[in-house]
Amino acid sequence: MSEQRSQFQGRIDVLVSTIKGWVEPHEWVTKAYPKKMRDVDHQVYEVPALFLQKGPTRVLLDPVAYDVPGTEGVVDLYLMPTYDDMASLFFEQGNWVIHYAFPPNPKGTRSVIEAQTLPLREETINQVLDSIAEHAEPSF
Amino acid sequence: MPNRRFDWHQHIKDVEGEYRATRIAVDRLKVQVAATPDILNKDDGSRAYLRDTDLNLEGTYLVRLFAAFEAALRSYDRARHNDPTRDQVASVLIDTIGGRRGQGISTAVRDGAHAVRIVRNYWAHENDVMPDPITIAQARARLQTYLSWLPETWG
Repeated sequence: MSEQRSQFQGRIDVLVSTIKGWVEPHEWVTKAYPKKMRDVDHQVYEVPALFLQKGPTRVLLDPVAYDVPGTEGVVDLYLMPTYDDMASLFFEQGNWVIHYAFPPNPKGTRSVIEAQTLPLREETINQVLDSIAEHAEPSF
Repeated sequence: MPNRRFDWHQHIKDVEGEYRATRIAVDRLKVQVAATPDILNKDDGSRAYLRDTDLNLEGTYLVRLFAAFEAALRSYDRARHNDPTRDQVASVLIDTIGGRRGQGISTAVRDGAHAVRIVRNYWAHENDVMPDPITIAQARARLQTYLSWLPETWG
């Protein structure tokens, strides 16, 4: 097993269990699911993906890749069941960050949606998930 | 063939990801070739076919996207009938799996999958009439929604 892949698997294991612990107290129901991934040498390996549900909103935390230019790991957040892209997590300089475009505040003066990159913490992941639950509608 | 619905969802999402990366690559190449035509060889056709590559990119990936969806339905259909050689066409699979005797999928969701199929047929030259266009993201959303009605595993 390549060192990079092994590191990625370890990071995803920790990420999934950490996020479970952060979101479950905020009424998100979670279920881990093994995702099969194929490496550049066609080796199949598994990492956990995480389904999250709060009321009617279903989201998937989906590990995407580690061999990505400019980052050591990418994990996406999709709105289910359409798999619409909502947010992305990147492993950069030893830490996970979350990239998300918060919808504009209807009372605010700015109407342009600007994506923000936030350090991944209990507070920020719950902010993002709650924003998705509040605003996102499946595209179909 | 995988027998976990989740694997098929992932496969469809992966195809969409490949499309996005290719779209960016083609867009950037067009700009570079316009500025410096010599970066592509005039003799091997690569320069001449760049325009068609650009024009047909959505269609090319929509065919792949639908092929993944169709393979998922076929896998499920074969397992359901315990017949590994069973080979229904896509339109029949969508209606029989989604119908009242199947998973009871709503007409709107089935129609969504059929709309993608009709666009696929156009790009695969099975139909010469240009249907209403569908973006890759719209096609992915429709096909994923249909698949979400299948059981988690089969076979």
